[in-house]
Amino acid sequence: MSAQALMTLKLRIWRQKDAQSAGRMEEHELSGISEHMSFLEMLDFLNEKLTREGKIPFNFESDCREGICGSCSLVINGIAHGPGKAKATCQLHMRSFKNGDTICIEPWRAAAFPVIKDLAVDRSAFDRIISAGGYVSVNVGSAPEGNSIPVPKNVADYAFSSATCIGCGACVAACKNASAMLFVSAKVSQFSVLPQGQAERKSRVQNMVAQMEREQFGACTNEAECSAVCPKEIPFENIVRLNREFIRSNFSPSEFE
Amino acid sequence: MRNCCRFFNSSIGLKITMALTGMLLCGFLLLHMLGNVIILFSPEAYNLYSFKLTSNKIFLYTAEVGLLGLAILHILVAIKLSLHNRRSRPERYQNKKNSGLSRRTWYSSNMIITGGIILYFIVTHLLDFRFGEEIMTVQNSVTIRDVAASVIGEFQEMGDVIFYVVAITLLMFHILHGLRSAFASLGLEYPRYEKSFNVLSKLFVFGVSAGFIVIPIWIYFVGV
Repeated sequence: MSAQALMTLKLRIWRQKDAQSAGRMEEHELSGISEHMSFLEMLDFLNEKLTREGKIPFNFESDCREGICGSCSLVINGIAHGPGKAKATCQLHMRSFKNGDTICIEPWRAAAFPVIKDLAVDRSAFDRIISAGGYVSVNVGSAPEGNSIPVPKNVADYAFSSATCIGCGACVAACKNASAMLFVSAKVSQFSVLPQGQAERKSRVQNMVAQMEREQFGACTNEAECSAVCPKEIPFENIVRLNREFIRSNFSPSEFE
Repeated sequence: MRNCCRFFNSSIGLKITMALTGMLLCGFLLLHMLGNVIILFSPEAYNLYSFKLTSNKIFLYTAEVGLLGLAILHILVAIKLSLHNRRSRPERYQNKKNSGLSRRTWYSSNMIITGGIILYFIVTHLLDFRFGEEIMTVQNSVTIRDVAASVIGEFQEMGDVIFYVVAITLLMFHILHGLRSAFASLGLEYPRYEKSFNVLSKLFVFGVSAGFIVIPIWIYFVGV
């Protein structure tokens, strides 16, 4: 790697001591950045430099660093997970930026996602929505025979494409109303089309939507900003399905309720 | 009943209320536009149409109360949703951009503002025509209101024509997002029909707006 390929960047990063304190943007200049670094490696590099200088490093979340776990969560230059399509922050590389660029880095901002420290936010609201209904109840025991419940290929594919949601929360971060509709709709769709999901189909959507509202997520304005930034490209169509499921669950009669 | 209340109070239920009231108001817009363009063909026929519409008082008041109810519900729910959405993000972004890959447009993000201007327009519109001066005329030996004269009188001033055209243009952008959004909120948007549906809804929006806009321009420049 030639010395010329190394970049110097101006970073404006959100600094916030804890959930109670007010935050502010802090500026840092960082040189020696290779275009081959991932965005998170660049932040590691900055944190090492800050530590060496005796300053406090920035707190941010990451885990698998290969776009599967949904831990990384940064709004980069105003876009959740930064520029480019279908990638989580960890899959963003410094070649997407030019020498001398100013990069603005902020946490997800939503009432339901309070900042823990700096760039790390508390996304347990999503966990509580899943606990409210994002599951199918099965008897524990040995695994059932795989082909005992036939599922047509196109239905299985649809359910699987919804199930690829990694729950990173970029949909909430990008939505102007901080709505969690794409997340909830992906989780509802995944089960509502499968035979295994039929038993709890009505209560699932009711409980998950109720929990979503308790967590103070906003309402959907059907602008599909969520799908545009989703690292797994969960389509907006899921939200339409959620609306349909919600109407169905409220107005289809059941003799057992 | 309690279920129904809970349903309409949920964020999805509120969006469904917006969708239903908005779509019904769009239906009214179409009828209103079709009635209005009569004036371009014959002011006498327009007066007769208006007389027929208003002479049955039971029909008139029912329709008026219904429309007023729809409009009030649409506005109240819009305010409630806007406040709710504002609370969902108490701390704004320092730097926020659109992805540029979504359906988001300037008008889809400013529905409450275009809606507010449309409300102002509707109030002035009602003061001008519904509660304005009633010029009478005799047609076929029956004394009826000469609404055509009021309309023609209204559009003699360039300023009034511009205000009307701007208001209808904003209304057009409002329903351009609103109509598509309404179908999504009601769960009626299917990927398979999305393209043809999109074309049809745009035809509706542009058709209705063009019908309204052509009237003042025609009256001002050509006359009837």
